[in-house]
Amino acid sequence: MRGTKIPAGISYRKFSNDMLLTLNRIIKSGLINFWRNGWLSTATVLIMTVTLLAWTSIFLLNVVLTSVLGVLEQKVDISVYFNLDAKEADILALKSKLDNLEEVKNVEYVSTGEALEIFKKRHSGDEILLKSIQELNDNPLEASLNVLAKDASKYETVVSFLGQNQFGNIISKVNYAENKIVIERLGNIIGVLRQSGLAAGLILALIAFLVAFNTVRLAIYSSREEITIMKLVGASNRFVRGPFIVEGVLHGLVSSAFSFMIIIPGVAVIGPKLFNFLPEINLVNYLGDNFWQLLFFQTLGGIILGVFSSWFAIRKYLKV
Amino acid sequence: MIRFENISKIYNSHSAALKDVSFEVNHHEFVSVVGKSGAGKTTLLKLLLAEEKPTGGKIFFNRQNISAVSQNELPILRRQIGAIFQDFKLLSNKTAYENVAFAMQVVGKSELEIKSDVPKVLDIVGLKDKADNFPRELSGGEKQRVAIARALVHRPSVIVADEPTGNLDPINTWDIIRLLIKINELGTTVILATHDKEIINALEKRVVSLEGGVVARDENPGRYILS
Repeated sequence: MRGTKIPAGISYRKFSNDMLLTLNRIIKSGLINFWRNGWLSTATVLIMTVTLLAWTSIFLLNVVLTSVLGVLEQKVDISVYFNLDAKEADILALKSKLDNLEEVKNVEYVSTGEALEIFKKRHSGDEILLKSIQELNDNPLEASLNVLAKDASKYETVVSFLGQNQFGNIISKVNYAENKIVIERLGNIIGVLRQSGLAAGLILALIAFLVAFNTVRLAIYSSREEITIMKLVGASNRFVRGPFIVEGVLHGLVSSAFSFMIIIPGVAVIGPKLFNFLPEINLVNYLGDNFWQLLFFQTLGGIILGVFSSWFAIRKYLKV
Repeated sequence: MIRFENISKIYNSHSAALKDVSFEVNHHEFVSVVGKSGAGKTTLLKLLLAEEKPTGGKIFFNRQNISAVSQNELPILRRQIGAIFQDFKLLSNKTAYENVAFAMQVVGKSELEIKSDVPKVLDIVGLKDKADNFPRELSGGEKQRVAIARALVHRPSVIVADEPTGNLDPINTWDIIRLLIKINELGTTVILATHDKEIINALEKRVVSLEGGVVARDENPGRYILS
């Protein structure tokens, strides 16, 4: 500890015993103050609960937003159709070249036979269409590659790669041109949502922090007389500050517990609704899988918030 | 023991609270500092507790220059002085017992010593039965007696009392003064700041009179003389 030297003539054993005694008194005093300051503690804990609730909700919203955007991006792909006389080996050669492109995340090959299967399955209720297909001797459906880029803005590069002359004789059509506007727009929206979501989240988190910090400041302001008295009686800064830090830790712990008591039923209600709407996002499972991490980081956040606020707010009043 | 050397304190450029104040207080002395409101009594005691720093001059406490004491050493200095105030300055969310025990905790006394000494001191000031009461549950006189118990309990070499009877009725006033006399008889130096003429004249001890921030008289035994 700063400024603490073992005074001459005192054994290390006595010194460490004294330190333990002081620590013991600080903790005890902090607990008693937390209890006796009833209303003030309740108000502080409630405000800090709201702050932690905001932090965790912003985090969960961010998780949801990220997966929604991920889902949307998965839905954007381009298909490359090949002439009926294109050799499968050529198509597979192109596939492996695409696979090697940095911008490409995944390439899926659909052969003419598979295309027919998919077509039949999709139109299984449509007798006339199926019959007319059967009457044709040859399979009229083209083989295709479905290309998924790492993100929507990368499709331009993929398309220009496909536009090279060497592939001109086997490719019949790339559907990018038709989807171009939609893909570009979606790419923009996703980018903007990511950035603004992050910014809004950070601003909200900061506001929540300031509200909690101010509450602690007011609580300590109301104790400024007591702090002066303790100093005049000869208490060291450490001995005066200690119980307030202990109270800060308690505020953090209790708020975190309260916050989780609200988050769990909240997710239980909202999670299934969201799941019906977007089957890719299962918030209930997410909370279940990350329960301890979330609880740990939220509690840590609460304790840091409580301790930092107390520490900072009390500085001014210790200068007596 | 305590020496004020050419002390001056200026709060703003138009008026000085203290001007060139010099006097000495010896061991086991009972000194009253008297004067009208604004004469500089409280300022003088605040300087002794290093609550404020003098604009000029030096204050020595057991040969230690108080105005040169660092923030780290300040608590150690204050533990040697027991302070009593007009507004009691008790910790409102601690009981009478805890308020007194706090002064011992600050000095680092063991729980055993605290358990044995605090009830004794509360008994001396006549508050054995009120140990578990909070300050809000005590009368003015009782609060001041808790404050005296707190000032006494760690056996400081000097007790400084700033208008300790200012908020009390005559009966309580004399109880407090009798306690201070008793403490002094047991060997503790007492510095009492007051503007109560009756008390001063009945005490028949040394009196330092402040007028407009300067020492007007220093007599032993002295009387309260209005100029």
